[in-house]
Amino acid sequence: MNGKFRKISKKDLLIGLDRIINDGRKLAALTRKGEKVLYDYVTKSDEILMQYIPTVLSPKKFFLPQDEVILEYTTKGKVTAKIEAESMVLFGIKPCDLHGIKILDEAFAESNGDPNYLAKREKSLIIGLDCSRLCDEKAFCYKVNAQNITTGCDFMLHNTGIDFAVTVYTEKGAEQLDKYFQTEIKSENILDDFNQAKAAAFSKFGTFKQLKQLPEIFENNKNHSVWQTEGDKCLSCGSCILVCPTCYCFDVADEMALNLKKGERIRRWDACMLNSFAVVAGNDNFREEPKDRLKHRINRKFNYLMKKHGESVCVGCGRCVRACLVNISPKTIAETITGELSTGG
Amino acid sequence: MAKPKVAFFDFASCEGCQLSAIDLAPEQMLDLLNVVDIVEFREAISEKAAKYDIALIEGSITRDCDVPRLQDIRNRSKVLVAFGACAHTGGINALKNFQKKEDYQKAVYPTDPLKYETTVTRAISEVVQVDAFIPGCPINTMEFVRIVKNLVLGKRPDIPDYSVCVECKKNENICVYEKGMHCLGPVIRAGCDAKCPSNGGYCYGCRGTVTKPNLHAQKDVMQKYNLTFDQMTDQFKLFLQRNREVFKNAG
Ligand code: SF4
Ligand code: SF4
Ligand code: SF4
Ligand code: SF4
Repeated sequence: MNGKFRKISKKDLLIGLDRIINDGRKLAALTRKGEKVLYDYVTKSDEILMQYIPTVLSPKKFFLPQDEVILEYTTKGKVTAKIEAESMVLFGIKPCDLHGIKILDEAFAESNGDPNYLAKREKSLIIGLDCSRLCDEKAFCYKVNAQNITTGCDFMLHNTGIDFAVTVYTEKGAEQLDKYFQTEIKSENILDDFNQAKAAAFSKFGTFKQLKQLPEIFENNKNHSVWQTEGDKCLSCGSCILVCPTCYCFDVADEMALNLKKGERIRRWDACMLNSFAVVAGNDNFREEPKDRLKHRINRKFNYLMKKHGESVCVGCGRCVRACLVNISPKTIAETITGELSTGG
Repeated sequence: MAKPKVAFFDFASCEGCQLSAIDLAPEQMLDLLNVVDIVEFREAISEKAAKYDIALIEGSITRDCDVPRLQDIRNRSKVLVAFGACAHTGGINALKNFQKKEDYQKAVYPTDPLKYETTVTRAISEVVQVDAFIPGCPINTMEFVRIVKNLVLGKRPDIPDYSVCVECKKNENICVYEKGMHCLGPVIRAGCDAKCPSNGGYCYGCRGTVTKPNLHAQKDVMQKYNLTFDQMTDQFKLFLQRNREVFKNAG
């Protein structure tokens, strides 16, 4: 923005969000529904929560819904692909989840691309909300540097206490910011204070000591005792996968209508920690024990997919740690394998 | 294609699962009757047939005289389905297995206890071969419809074999352990859409365990959340009567 800095007052922010809703676009944001705090559609800006409490599910569900009809068919042979995508705005997405979206974007764009995911992404505008400090003691974004972003949203807001500094990341972001929001252009760097406060809040936390070498280290530790000890505790409940912003495995099933004349093909979230996921045709199972599935899951985060995406595919949001009733944590496992735990690092 | 002949039978049960099965909208009912021929159903019709393509058995086996009747149905049926928790796991009726026979006989007929012919409660699969099951107390109507469709189409019955936690997380619930309750969800078979934890309750296991439950870890979790072993078996024996020993071994 020509070396200039933009800011928006809280009042103008809320006015802009209401404009989006009044324009007939869907707006999803952090909100309360009964006892739950979650990302959901809101009908007025005053339903939006700014103070972040980590949610059970990540915003991934807006692009890859829990259950999605992807095709309709008739027994006469008519097959219709179904792609549902509405223009929507996602507001208040945190850096860890923005990293998650970036990873999903890469995964679903691969080879021919996933038309359903890509259509939903294409029609969405993502407004980030930066974190000035760690959200809770279960989060470990700092271990993989996911508290800072370079991409993943259209524009990002940084709460300075009085108002919000804005960083624009995409053209679409710039255009939509101008369309809906009253901003002020400043010549001094209003982000400095925010950045300094953030750096101070995170200064006592460091990344994994060998962050870049994690794939290699995990590759060399397939027989580490941690797999057995942690695997023995595992309930194989699948919660850790369901809540993860970067897990994207799904199952596909054909559901006939009761009249047996037509049907739908549905894809739904699946989870590699479940025994049922590991069972293949003929009732064979290549990952029979919880430890085998845990090893696979954690290697997907810090090894196999990390090589592919060039960054840790665990973004340290801590959702799986909050969800796991037996305290299995990717952070603890990585620290055990790298030896950080025993050396007190 | 001739429509498969479907029959419902009940043993020790409340017949609530049969009522759940016909809890369909009228047009769904018509669709169902277009694909199957219901030939025996005490709740709605009085006809009888000699052979069945699909026999749905509700209830558990609690008397010796039930055994030949069940075997006879088995012999006349191509596919036999344990229908609902009582048939699938023994269900609530199996609670009596925790008591002495004299005690529950006396409880039912205080003046003439021996009048009551009874044995240990058994699930259908403990007496005859079962080809499919529809779990739950009561069964889930749409799951019943799905299984009937699967069987009519010659497909493998599509019953989830993963934990209730999966559906609970999909519903974005706060885990009841965080609310001071205990829950069997991690080891119980999903398919109910986590009805109980999603509506202020907790899972007490009416759908039975998944194929490979880690009961050892489940027990550790409940103890970590301050439930003693006795409280655990007491609170969760309702549907896990058959897993009681496993719980013990896990100790
Ligand atoms: S593995 Fe856990 S901490 Fe890492 S991104 Fe997934 S849910 Fe978050
Ligand atoms: S949440 Fe914990 S217990 Fe459940 S599958 Fe994941 S690691 Fe295992
Ligand atoms: S409430 Fe029960 S079913 Fe839901 S996540 Fe917790 S343990 Fe699992
Ligand atoms: S949550 Fe548990 S007890 Fe409730 S319906 Fe489902 S399986 Fe049955």
